[in-house]
Amino acid sequence: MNNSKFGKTDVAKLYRRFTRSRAAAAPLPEVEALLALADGQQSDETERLLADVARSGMHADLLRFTRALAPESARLGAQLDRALERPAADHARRGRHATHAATPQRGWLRAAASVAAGLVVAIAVWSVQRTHAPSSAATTAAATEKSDRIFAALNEPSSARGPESDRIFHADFKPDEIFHGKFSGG
Amino acid sequence: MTLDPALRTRLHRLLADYGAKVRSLIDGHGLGQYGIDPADIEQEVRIRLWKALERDRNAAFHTSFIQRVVLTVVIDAIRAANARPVEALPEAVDDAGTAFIDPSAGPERNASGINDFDRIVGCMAELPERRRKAVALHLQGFSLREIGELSGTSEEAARKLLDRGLQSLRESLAVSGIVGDIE
Repeated sequence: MNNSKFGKTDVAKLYRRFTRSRAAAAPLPEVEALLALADGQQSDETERLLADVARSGMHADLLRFTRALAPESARLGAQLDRALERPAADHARRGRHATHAATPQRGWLRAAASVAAGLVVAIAVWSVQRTHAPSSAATTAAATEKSDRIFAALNEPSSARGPESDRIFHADFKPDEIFHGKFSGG
Repeated sequence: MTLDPALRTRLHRLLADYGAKVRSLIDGHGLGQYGIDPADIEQEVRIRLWKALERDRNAAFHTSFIQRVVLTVVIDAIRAANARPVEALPEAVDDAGTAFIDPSAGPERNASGINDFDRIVGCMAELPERRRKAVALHLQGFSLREIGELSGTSEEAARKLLDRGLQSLRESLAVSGIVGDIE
């Protein structure tokens, strides 16, 4: 019994010691997963890595190291911006999600993306114009026809009008009862 | 890339300062125990970052890019250290347990440590998964705030998981005959 011979077991110390010794057998973490976990992102990959961190001291050390590295790396990015007289980037924020920054192909990728985006917009505008052109003409024609019918109606003979034509003007007005009232004898 | 000498000197100094910080962090986090040489890492990181600067001085060096360079160097170095052939001892014992032995401790204590560790792991295996993870991260030295951030829960939720997990672990360890100090 350990407590009788060596006193209370420091469980955390023991756990850390043996999970570090076992580290050699554990597969090494992927850099991207490590960065994502250090950034607090949640995915199947980070879940798996977190399980490794829980049982492997080396993974735990690497995760702590990654988290400690972030502020120093952000500082270096800002210092390089200043030294090279570039507009200061928000390194702390943008660094979290900019996964392919500072690669040599970056300029070409940006140019290609701009050209592609322009092309997509041009095609979209062209197809919208093509699609809407005939339907616009049809709408205009229909509108013209309708408006023509309004004026054509004026030219139609009255017999052509339905029996339900203007009831107001064809109503049988009853004589004014007030003025035709029987004032018997005044 | 053509740089005027003053700017070149300044950039070299920035990378040198950063390399020194990386080295200090490697030392501070005990990564040297995994067979890597912090001085080698520092030098390799400086070389890689300088090459990236030479390739495109206008590219923004975001935090994640710089971290990625460092982590790639560190993990590659650990991988290389693991792959290095280990000199076989004349009386090497083919027992996985020997890997856990701390040479500074006596043989009796080492044997006891291995047994205790196995029992701790056994007791932890009985915990519900979320509690087990919170307890394990706590034992690995992560704070409540860190456990919450890493697990995607609040600090308060992490505290509850940890409290319940530690309570269960204490009870299990007591049944196993280990009086543990887990705080």
